[in-house]
Amino acid sequence: MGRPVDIGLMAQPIVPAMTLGVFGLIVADRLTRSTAPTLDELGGAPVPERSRTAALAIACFVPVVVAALWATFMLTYFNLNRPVPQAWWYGTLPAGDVIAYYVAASVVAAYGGSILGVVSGRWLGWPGSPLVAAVLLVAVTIPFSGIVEVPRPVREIWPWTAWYGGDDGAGADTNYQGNPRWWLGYTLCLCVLGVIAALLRARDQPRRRLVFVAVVVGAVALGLSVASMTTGPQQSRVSPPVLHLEQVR
Amino acid sequence: MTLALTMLRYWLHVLPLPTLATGVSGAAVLLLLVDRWPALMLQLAGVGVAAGTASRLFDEPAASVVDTLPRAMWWRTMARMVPAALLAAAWALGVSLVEMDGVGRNDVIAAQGVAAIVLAAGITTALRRRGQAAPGLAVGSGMLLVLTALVLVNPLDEWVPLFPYGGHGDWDGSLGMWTSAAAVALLTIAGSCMEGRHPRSWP
Repeated sequence: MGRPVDIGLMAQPIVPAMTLGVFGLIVADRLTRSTAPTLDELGGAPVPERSRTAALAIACFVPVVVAALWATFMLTYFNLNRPVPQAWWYGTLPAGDVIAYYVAASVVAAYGGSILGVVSGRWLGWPGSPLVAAVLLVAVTIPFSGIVEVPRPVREIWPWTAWYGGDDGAGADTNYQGNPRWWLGYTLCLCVLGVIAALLRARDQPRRRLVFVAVVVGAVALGLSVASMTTGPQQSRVSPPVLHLEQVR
Repeated sequence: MTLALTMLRYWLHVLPLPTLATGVSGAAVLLLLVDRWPALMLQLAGVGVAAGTASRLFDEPAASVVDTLPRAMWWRTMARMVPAALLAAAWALGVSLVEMDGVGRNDVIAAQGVAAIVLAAGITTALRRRGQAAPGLAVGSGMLLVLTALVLVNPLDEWVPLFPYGGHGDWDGSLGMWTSAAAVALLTIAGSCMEGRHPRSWP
């Protein structure tokens, strides 16, 4: 029996989501707060707060680049070197679903976590708030990743979820219901809403247009989330047995 | 009695009580959720929360003032170790009341939390000794993130069973690792306290 093969390729986006998204939340929050003492001493900044927030929102693309490189490698390498043809991946799932899930759960999550850090840094006065936000994010994401049956049909409402349900103990693995393509659109909308929320903190500048855009994007996001729940397969599917049990980890 | 009153007054003045309350209630909520849904293993996020909370207990934002006062650093550290010990005891008690339903071993999970608290105290005290006034937030953030990340993804799981899962996990190995880490942290605290009355940066 050779080296165990990792069959759960659809589970891998949790790595960048945690290391870039949740870490990004804390780093972005600290980065956002870091200028406050200096500004207090100087008595203000030559650049308006909204411009500084926009600069931070652009800085959040740094983890996105790393996540994009990771996703490109995974999607390309494992397309050319398929470890297990029967497992949920290209061929057994539509390529668009695989790519949409990878982009949403790694690349978009890297930006989403970071922009959430900018929002908490701008809006919440307590320096420990990003820690509470990180714990809440992880604690709610675990049941909403599909592990718990009750919220599984509506789990796409959460900013991070999963389609891979692990192996069934008999060498086959599970793929949850729902449509990852619409969910990709939904997560992108959430990022836009995050940027708007951070920009709205600047009270000295007009906010009406931003609020209008936020309402429109929020409505679109809601529609995309519902579409993600109601389209695609409506039942969890189990693959054919993929490997000898000893090879599955 | 006088010492107890002195300590009580000291705690009321220096401890970040809102942070402590948030941390304790957060860990309690996670343990309650574990009691309902053991398979979620949320107690492991609780280990990070306990460590993050403990690290804040050793911050001294007014270090530039208190370092000049007669109370030596060892006294202040020992005084702050008492609430940290209470936090550890509360964690151990909370874990002992939770029904793990075969997915975890209560004694090891209690030890993981206690060790994480001691580890947080050790790192924060060492940084205080090096002259940093309030390293707690950075240490707490780092520990919370690293521990939570290791719960979800541990690339060295076969060799370093930090957070085993289920009946087949290496629970004894995990207990040994966490106990060793706590022992090293306790030595670090002792070393930091014995080095002198004041942090190294003190003029």
